[in-house]
Amino acid sequence: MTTLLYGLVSTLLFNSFGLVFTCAMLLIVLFKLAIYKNLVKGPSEKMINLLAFTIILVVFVAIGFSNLVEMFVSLLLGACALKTIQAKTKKQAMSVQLLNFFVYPCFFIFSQNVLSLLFVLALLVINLAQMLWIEHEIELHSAIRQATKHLLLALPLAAIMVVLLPKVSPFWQLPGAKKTQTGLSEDIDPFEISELSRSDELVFRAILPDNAQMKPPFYWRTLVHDKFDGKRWRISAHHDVPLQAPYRAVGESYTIIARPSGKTWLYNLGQAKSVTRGVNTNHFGTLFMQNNLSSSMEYQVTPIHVTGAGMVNWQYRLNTALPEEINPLATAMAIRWDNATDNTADFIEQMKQYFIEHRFRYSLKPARISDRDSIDTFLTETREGFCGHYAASAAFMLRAAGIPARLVSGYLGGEYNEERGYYSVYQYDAHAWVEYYVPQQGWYRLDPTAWVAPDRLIGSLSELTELEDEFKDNLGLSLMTYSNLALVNWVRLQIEQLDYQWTRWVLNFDHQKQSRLLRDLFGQYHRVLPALSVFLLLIAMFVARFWYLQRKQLVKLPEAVRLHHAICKLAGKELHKLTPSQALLTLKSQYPGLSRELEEFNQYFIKSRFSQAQLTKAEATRMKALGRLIIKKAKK
Amino acid sequence: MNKTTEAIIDQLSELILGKEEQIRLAVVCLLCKGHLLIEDLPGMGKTTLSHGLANVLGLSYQRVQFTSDLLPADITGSSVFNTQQQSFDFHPGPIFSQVLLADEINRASPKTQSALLEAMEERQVTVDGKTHPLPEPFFVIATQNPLHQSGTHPLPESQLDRFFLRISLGYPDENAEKSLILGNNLQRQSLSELSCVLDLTALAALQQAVVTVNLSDSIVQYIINLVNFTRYSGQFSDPLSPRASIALGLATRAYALTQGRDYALPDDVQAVFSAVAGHRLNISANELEDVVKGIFDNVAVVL
Repeated sequence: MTTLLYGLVSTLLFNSFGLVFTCAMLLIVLFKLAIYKNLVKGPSEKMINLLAFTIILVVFVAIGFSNLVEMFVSLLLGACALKTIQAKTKKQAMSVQLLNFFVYPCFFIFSQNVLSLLFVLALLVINLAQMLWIEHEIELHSAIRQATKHLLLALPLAAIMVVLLPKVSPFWQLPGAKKTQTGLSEDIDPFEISELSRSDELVFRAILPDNAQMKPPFYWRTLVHDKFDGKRWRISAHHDVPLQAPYRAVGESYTIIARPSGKTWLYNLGQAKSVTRGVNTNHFGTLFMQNNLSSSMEYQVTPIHVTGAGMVNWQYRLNTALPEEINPLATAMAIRWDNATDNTADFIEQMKQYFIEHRFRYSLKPARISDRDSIDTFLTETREGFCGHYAASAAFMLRAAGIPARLVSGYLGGEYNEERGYYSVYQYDAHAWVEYYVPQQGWYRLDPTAWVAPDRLIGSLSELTELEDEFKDNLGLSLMTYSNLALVNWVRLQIEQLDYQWTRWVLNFDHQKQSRLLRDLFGQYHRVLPALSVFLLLIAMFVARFWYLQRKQLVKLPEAVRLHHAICKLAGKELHKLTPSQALLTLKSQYPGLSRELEEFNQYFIKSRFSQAQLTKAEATRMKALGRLIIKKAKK
Repeated sequence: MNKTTEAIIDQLSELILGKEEQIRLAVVCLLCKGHLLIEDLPGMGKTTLSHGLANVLGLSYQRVQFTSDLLPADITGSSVFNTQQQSFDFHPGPIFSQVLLADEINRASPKTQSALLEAMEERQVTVDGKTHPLPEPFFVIATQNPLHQSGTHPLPESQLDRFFLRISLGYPDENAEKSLILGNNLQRQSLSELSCVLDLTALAALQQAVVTVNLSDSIVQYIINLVNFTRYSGQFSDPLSPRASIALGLATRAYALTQGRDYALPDDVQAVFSAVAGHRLNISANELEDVVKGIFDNVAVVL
């Protein structure tokens, strides 16, 4: 049953298997329920085979070969679900439970945050309890209690293992298990989109140094779109080319913990360089990885300034290129302003005045513009849009005036956690802005959105009161939607913080962090002591377990038997292995002076152990007293 | 209860000197509605014991000397044609008595042996298709000579199981033998003078009382451990069956009852163990004591 539960929840949560597969799993659950309620008979061998074939077909059609990981996980899920339906005997049920242990870890392929950990732990408890229930037929609630106890006992051990055992870097990586839900994409056509910022998923967290140099607004540069084809802004081939030009570091470094995105790009402020292995800086000064980011990753960023600011001809051409004969009104406007001004700053001022004078409005739900001259329509008719509209229009007009310009997408702002001092950036913080080039000086940032909605620059989009309704409307069902309720917001922040700690200390606990920690803990012996302590710990555990088992048995013995054992021990032989009367004979011959007491004790002992009648309270006390008396006297 | 059983044992002890324990086991066997096998050389008092037991309990008694030419019909009885009434009349054999002494059972042919054993198990006799129930109580005491004597047919292992207990009287001790030689006991007691101690209802009540004796969990566990030792130690080719463990439990209870207790002790288990297990484990009476001691040494008493 838990397989089915897992299958359902994971398909619903991640939606990575698609609707068809989810429906198939749902049908299997209903089928199993019907069998359980004796509404239908269990399926025959033939039917199971048919179902298996159907599921394979569904998986191939609905998920396909492009997502190998999802395909295999869904096949595993399907197989387990069928096995669950098929299981009739105790043995089969047990084998399903065992299979489940292979299914649950798959969850971590899709999500590795605290909540998914709790979810998998809960599943493990249920699974263990079910195994106990099936095998030993104990009550379900005590099975759950036992399973929880065992799991809780195992957790500290697991934690110690994580800290102390040597870390081996993974020799394989999952190919793009994560479907992109990112707010960013390589191609931007804002006019095609009618809604933005639909996801409250965390993108990354940033821990900035505690000094005055870093002040909002934080523009997290991620992608540079320098090719414009009339509709879309695309990224050029330079995105994956490492930076060649000379540079110098210009500030204090900071830490970013990125969530898996399935993409190669990373996030940084301005131009940056990273010392973390596997992280490169490209031509634009943004960071990227060789492989797709398939698991959570922590990296260090150092702000840099690329000193070679010159621009060669082909670059100039690329950054001013516009297709012929589109947006004639915007082009005309740009040329008019260009003629009226003599430097780029003045040109931008003209543009700003235009936006302000014509009362452009910032909206997360602008009307969709699909005609060819979309910028013209936006500038002259609709006059409402989000960052993409303003950035695309501004970049277009800059290029029309012959000023090299490009679109930059990334994230703006972030939610600050005051307790821990880090910024959380969510998908809805995705933002687009413009960079323009001034000869001999370099690239400058220009955010036309700020002219229309200056508040957007402070903090996160979620903190923008003006757009609250639109924002929450877009977000749908999310804790963020109800963040104006104090309790909900508190819960949300707590979960957020827990997740931060989890990511920081568990997910990103890599070789470097480990050796640093071990060095702190063990000093110069950090190479030997950890292994030794794990070894000792294991031995201690086995000893403790053994002792616990032994003790448990002793505790189980009734008081009378313990006293009898103690008395038998006096004689120095294994008297307790004989019958009480035989033991009594030997004891009496060894301690003739105690005959009377021994005799009386034996009577009570026999009564308490073998007769139906229970000892009265007085007799029990008398027996204990006798026992102690005998031992005391005998030792003298 | 104690008094009645003590009275039986006292009476018989005067008849057979120095064999109190064996007599007690014989009584235990009777209380458990089982059949008794006495293995001994001739002249040890087997016949006296069985006859005495019948007399003390006021039961009808028959003795059959088993010989190689004894036929099944000689025990069960046969139908004889009645010329006057033109019909077959059933003439019951010696088996139709409450105490039957099958003397030297291993001298008879296997066919006759099995006829007796079948009747013991089913407590009825079928002759010419007609079933005749045996009297109640029905108590068979079979005696057996040690097998090295000539002309014997040993009882098969599966049949030995039909006997609840096997005891061996053995030689009397010196004092007892002196009295025997001097004929003291004959002056004091003779078989015919034994007084009847209890009637049938009292015997039935005693037999009922056996199952009310308390077997504590530890006693049951001790019995199981003993039985398991014969099964898993690898020392025995014929380990004890569950029927043997049931018999062990029942005999333990009856033994406790003869001791005047309503609960069993580990000592009771040990007292009946060799009588219950000996013939089932296929150990000769001579070796029995050592083997049983070995088992007790290996299996600790459960308290």
